Amino acid sequence: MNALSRFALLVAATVCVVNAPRAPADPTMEGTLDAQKILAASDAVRNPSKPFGLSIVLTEYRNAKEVDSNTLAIYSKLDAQSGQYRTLVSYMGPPRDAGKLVLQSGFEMWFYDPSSEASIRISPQQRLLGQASTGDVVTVNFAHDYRATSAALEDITDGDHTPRHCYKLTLGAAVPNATYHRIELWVEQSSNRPVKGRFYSDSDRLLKTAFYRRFEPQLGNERPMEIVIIDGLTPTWVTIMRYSNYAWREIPDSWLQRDYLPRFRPE
Amino acid sequence: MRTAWVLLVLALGRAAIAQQDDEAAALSLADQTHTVPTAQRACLEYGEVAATGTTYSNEMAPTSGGRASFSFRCDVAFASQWRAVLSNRFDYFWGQEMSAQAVNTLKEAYVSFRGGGTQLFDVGRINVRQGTGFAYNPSDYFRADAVRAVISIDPNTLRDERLGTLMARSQTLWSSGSLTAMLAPRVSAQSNTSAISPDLGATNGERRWMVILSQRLGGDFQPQLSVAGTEHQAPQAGLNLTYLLNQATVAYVEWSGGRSASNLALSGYYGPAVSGESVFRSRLSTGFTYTTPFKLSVTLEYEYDGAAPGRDEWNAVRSGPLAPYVQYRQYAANQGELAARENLFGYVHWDDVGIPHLGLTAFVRFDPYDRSRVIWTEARYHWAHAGVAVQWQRHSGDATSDFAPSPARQSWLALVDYYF
Repeated sequence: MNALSRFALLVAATVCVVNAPRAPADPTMEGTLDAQKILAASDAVRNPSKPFGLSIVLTEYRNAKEVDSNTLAIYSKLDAQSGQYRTLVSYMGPPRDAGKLVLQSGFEMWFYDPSSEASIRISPQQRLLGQASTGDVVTVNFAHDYRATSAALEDITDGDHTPRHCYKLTLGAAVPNATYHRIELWVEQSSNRPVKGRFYSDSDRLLKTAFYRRFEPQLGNERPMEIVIIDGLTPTWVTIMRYSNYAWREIPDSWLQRDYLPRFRPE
Repeated sequence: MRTAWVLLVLALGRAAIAQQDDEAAALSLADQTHTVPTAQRACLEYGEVAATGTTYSNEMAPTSGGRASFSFRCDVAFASQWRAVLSNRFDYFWGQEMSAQAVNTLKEAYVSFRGGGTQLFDVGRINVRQGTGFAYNPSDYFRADAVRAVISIDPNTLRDERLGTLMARSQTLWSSGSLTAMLAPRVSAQSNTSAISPDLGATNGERRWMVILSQRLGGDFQPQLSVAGTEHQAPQAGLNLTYLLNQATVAYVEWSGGRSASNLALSGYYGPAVSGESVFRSRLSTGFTYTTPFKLSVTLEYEYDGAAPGRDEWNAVRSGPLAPYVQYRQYAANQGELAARENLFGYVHWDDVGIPHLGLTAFVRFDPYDRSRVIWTEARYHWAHAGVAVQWQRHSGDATSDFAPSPARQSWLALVDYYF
């Protein structure tokens, strides 16, 4: 047995210890399954196809100590032309931020502050919610912004501590304004539920790990009611996004533009 | 060699175990988290208490003072298509060498009707805020005389804490744009400085109108065009543009142009002869904001006011008689115009500096003609409701320069605020 073979065995043994149980990747899956279709089916679990609204309580921890909490009301609508969602984020609390709005529509992001009646254009890199990026809060169709290049079978434990038989998808950014350069996404084989994601920067640094959990029937599908986000660099920085108040909403296209922001009132 | 391989494998294994432990700890934290969404509130109230100190360039002794402020904003839907907005601020100032003074600023008070979701009508005092510029907004036509109590030289604060204008406003929205028309009547030509006056004379001293058209022309390109006029001034055209240069950078251009007299002439300047005839004049504010991955934003802005004196004229005004100079400076400040034709502005804001909720802000305004400048810095920390801040500012330049016209050279301010 040469050194290289020994190394391969050692690596395999180590991975088995730390990641068991794990099913071997099925080589026949690659190339035969349409990874992009799995990704699109997973998007449909996260995102209703008709205009909808929900509430998010976003709680941020550092070293297990709560350092921030925001309540947001989200209004999302799929733009048939672009294939991506347009989202209006309304800050409900804390009182310091109540009434502020963020609009994301394609490449455009606007921030509105009622105290000055001013709408300011912001870049995707401007984070307004602690460690969470705006891309974490707004509704995103991964299948539009990313191209899935492979789908291998893998067993993992989900965020609710249950073993799941998953496809592991590898996604690459397909549009210039994609929030992440690369994503590893685990999707449950039987239900297309997203289970876990790892998100990487341009330099392939792990930015965050996300667990999708607490699935409940909402708006015609089983949808995750909570996402747990773990910072890639400092894993003790944890953000918990808890969803509630799912509802279908009438959202005219004319609302999803800068000029409507001073007029907007959450329902 | 073998040892190196073993160490590498052990390191990989340890990293994988650590990652699993981190994930388990995060999920356990989530299991224990209990949350209740915050309900929407119709009214938000805010209070602030501040202490200030100032030192001077002449023989004046340092002075100190204070301020207590309370403001609220209510936005209430009182019928299916109707809403009412009321926003007010009250400031109480005290200090050495001055009698205590109260100033109330009725920022907004209007009712709004929505017809069919895309047609909106408003009547009352409305704060119409235009312009993509950061510190100078030439297309913000309703800014003149709107600041009743100057509580900070921070451009953000000056924009926030000002009077709206009494007007009727109609807005039509469609999926890719909007058309807005405003008409503000003349109420009184005289400003009222009494503490609790709504001071309609400040904002409605003459009849004014404005039309704004915004239309998406493709992608994220949506210019905003405006035309505004008064009963005494030729219509002024305005243009606002923003553009995303990359994931981290937004560029902006704000322009206004039209026939007008010079600011010196409009101020009633009576010093040495100045060129004040009514000609086409442009005003411009352009720059960009760059944001780093660690929440540091930097804005650089170039400002140009074609109605303000150029380098030679500015030097002549500065070296001329003092009284007309002071009158001109007061006029330019009240109108939100530049004192000299060109300014440079730099702004830096950094959130969560080392610890969550600690923010640092600094800006500098610089006049390239007389090389005067003002530097303003702030450190601010906040909790869910309360916050504390320390501010410091310094003016540098000659006694009649753009940014150091008063003997006050350096001041500090410490404040405590609370959101109810």
